[in-house]
Amino acid sequence: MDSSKWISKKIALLGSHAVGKTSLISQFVEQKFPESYLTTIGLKVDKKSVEVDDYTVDMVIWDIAGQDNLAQIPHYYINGCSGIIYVIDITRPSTFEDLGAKIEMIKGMAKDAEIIVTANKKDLLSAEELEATLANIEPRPQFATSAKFGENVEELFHSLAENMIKSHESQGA
Amino acid sequence: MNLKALKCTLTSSLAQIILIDREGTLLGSCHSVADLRKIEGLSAYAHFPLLIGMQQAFEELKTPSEKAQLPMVEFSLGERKGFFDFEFSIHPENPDQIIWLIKDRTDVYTLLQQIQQERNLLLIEKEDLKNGRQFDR
Repeated sequence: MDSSKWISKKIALLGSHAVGKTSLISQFVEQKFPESYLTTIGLKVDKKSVEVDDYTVDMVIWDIAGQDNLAQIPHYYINGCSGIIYVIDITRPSTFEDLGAKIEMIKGMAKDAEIIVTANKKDLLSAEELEATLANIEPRPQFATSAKFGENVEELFHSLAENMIKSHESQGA
Repeated sequence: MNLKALKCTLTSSLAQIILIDREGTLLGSCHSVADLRKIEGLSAYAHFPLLIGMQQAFEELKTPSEKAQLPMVEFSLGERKGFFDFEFSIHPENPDQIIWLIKDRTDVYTLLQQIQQERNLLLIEKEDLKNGRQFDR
């Protein structure tokens, strides 16, 4: 492997409780959907390498317990993050209330991080319902995913990896 | 056995200290929660990816009194899987070494997880009722 094309990046998944953060990671890392919901408390860390263009990106994925108040997240959970996926549950409006303000807050907490918003649990809505709901969310999520069926999950993490590489290259690192 | 020694004996399985250098080599451990002798001298970053995400925090540690705390981590330490509190600090006698203090809090955090789980499920049920729609989640 060309060592100049290998990078290791810390990423974090944020969002309210039970939006599917752990399930998205499980689907991405192990291609498995957990049989039953078990809430995450605190933090779990996983790792997966992805190939993007000429790069091998080691994604160290921090699965952070659901939080309604971002200010309560321990500093070191976010410190040093290059990428953040903010997850909402498309069937629960409470998980995307004040989304714009939350994203701005995250930008303040992780200044150098690339941020992507995904609307998870798309499998619970019809295509029409999904589009109508997404159209009313500001800012509009870049992805709509189903952790249960693996829809757009690979694409979500791949897109974040691409964004992190662009940022990495623009920094001349 | 005096009380201090007795306390150490009774509580030794609840905490472990690991020593790593700034390049991430695992220099040593007390092995009281999990036996890590097989990976001494090897990269702690390779065995514990979580530490990769703490590199910036390690760089910010300047004095032994500063601590980088990572509470409530669901983690596998050797054969031991559970919930732990982590605390990182500079070795008071060698600033090139990081002390990683691990406290096993599996009992209390497992209980907390059960309570949190019940609360979360109730909140979702309440929200679904409010919205007048149930989903097969």
